[in-house]
Amino acid sequence: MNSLNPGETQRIYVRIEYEKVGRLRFLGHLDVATAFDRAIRRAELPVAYSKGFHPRAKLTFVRPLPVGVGGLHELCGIDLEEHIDSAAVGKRLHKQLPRGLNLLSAQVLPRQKRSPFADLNQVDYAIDIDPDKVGASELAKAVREFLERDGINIRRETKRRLCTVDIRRGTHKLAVASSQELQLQMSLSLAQDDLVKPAEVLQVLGRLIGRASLPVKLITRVKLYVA
Amino acid sequence: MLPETVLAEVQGPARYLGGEYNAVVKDPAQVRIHFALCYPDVYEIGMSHLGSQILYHVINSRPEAVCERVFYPQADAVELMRQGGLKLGGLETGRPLVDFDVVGITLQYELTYTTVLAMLELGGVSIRSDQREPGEPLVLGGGTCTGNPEPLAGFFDAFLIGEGEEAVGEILDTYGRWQHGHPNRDTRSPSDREELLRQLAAIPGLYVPSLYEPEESDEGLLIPRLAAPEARPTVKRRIVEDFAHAAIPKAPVVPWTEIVHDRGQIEIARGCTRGCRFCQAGIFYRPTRERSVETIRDAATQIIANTGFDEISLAALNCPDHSRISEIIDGLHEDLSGQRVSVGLPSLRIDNFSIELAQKVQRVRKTGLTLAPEAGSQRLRDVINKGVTDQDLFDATAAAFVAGWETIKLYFMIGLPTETDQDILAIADLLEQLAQMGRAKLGRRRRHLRINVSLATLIPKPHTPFQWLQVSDPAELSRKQDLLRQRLNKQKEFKLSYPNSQLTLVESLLSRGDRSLGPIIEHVYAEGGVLEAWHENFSYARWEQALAAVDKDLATEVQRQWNLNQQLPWDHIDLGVSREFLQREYARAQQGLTTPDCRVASCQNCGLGEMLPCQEIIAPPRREECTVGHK
Repeated sequence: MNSLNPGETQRIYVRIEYEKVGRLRFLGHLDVATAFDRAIRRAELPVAYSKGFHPRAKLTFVRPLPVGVGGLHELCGIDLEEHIDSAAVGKRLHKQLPRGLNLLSAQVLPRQKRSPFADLNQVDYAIDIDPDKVGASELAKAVREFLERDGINIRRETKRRLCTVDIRRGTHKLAVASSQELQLQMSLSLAQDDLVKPAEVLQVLGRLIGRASLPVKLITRVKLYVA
Repeated sequence: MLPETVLAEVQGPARYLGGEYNAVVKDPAQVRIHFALCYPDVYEIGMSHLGSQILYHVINSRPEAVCERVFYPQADAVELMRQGGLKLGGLETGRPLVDFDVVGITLQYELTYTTVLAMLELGGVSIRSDQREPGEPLVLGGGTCTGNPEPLAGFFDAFLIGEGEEAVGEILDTYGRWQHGHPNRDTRSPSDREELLRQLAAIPGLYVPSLYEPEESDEGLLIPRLAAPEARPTVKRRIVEDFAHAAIPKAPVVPWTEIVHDRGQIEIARGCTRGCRFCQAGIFYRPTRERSVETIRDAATQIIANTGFDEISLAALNCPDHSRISEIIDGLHEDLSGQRVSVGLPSLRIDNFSIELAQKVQRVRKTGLTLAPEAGSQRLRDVINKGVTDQDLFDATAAAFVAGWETIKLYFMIGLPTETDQDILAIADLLEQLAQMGRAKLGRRRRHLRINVSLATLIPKPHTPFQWLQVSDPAELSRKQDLLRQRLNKQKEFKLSYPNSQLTLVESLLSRGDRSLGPIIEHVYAEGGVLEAWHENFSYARWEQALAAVDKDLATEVQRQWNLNQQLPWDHIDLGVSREFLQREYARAQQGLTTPDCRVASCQNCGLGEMLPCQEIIAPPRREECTVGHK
């Protein structure tokens, strides 16, 4: 079952969990990828490189974050050319990653056909709202209205066309946090059929309050997981 | 380093983040001298500048000093900073320029002059040196433009002429002693500040413009005259004699976001004595000095280990001129290819040997190859002392096509002395012959052949044999451009490009200007001129208007006539190359006579030998050149 084709090298995969926090949340995805590439070279990890004119370390990022958005449990995979134990990878990479891109765990995975990230289907966000511009009760009311609806259709522009999608179905959780900060917490679907983007939820909530958008202070992706 | 409120609103916030890997952050309370190293352009450009990396490293190596980097933000960030009352400051701590002890500004290109003023003002520092409060920072300039610092004389307290890595230590020593006597910024008097300037003027290579008074010459140019006992008749250029052992930044700052030269750089040699008569760098960095293969390999390995860059680029005015260049490239491949680090080689000369080197570094990828014949006819190449023959060019391009290159970029200049229409048409002849050969060599791949041609205009620079040349009439230049364009029009292999000619005119004006240009630069800045090296920000009309405001005409000023014996605004700046040598070279140019490279032939008496023991310092030629000689 697990036999390799002749000539195919054995694939060793490291699952990396990291944070993108503080000022480094202002890095774009390409910049994060470059920072990892350089940290890996400094760490002298036995990584596999892409073929071609411009070989780069084989890195896979799960659902890249946009500029300005932080992440508390971000995921990335590194292809290795030879086996090395998880602790060694973690120790070496931890030392080389810049502060703000902090390593949480590194786990060398047994060889498998599917990507270890293929089953991820849900994501949690924590979004700080400016309390000087929107009241907590006002926001809570909008959230209630959002949840009471059976369907919420919005227009989404994809690369090819403009379509109408229901974002209520994929919004599994939406709540105003009761801590000191005014914070929205949401669990959204990542599945292709009922994918919801946080900006879309914010847009609808804004409209329910009667504004073009919500005054967002900070967006943080809390984690990606299998629901 | 901008606050998060601003970062959230700007395009490309990564360039304002600070805190990059290898950035040096010291506790301000633990150091005495705070140095802000400014590059008057955006992050992507300034971070690529090797000279700034060297100074950053040298200053931060001193326990009593700290150096922070400062670049000019894009318009959207400047707007937000102004709205929020934020000043321009260092990337390391965000402290505004005005809080530093020394503000050092790199001057590499004349069209950054207005950005210099913008940086000072946004950083809270008074623009004019005579209006600076005693407690404000010392404003220092350095870089190749200091060959003629006069247009900027009113904005700088002092200029360092020449190479900075040794002199900056002497500046810090002098500053430190003075600071010890005047520790409190708030109680310093104007005479304290003057005392500092007089002490700085005693450092070799330091030019303090306020110790000189301008006097109008017969030709109507402002010539600086000694106005203080500390002023010296000439300020001699600083030259690092022991370049082989000079400081190398082995842990350069790793940028957060893609910059122009997004790679490690190792300076393998400094200077070039080939003697192209239009070239200012060839004079400014004499003599040719080099580092050993061992030093270079060791430094490159450390740079990669400390940064993780995937490419190391060799830096020199002309890399193939290093006496052991093959060994360097082979050695670096041996050391670094296991980590998939490639070796970059910029600035190639036109000969077979260079193509072999290019092949070595680009074993697979055949991106465009750039060659600079500069002129189309042999006669005109001799006039500029380019030292390249048609045969060199054919051999080199043939070798390149055979090696797999399909795109060639060629640089030419127009507006050269003694140039005729025949010389322009010779460019077309040359290009057509190259294209014909390219098609033959490429065979089935012939349809991929591309020859990109850049047609720049000569800008006569101070301290070069061409410093006395009159700039060509713009109408005449565009007629010549058309002449070439018409000849090459219908052939799809060629793509012609012309650098902005109006920008060229202003560069021309500034490079040979005198102190009267100070108010002009200030006027242009006040009218919104900033980051003008970027074409979209440049306005010719703004410069025209600034000159018109003092009853001058830009075109007339640019096309001023010069004569070989007149006084020049930069006569007091001594780069080590004598006026006699430049005059001789000027005359030889008019006669179409070439002058050999002193590394290969004997000493050509450029004058440098009177300043330093040239023969002991100058790098040997490559072995194959000893037999072939300079062409």
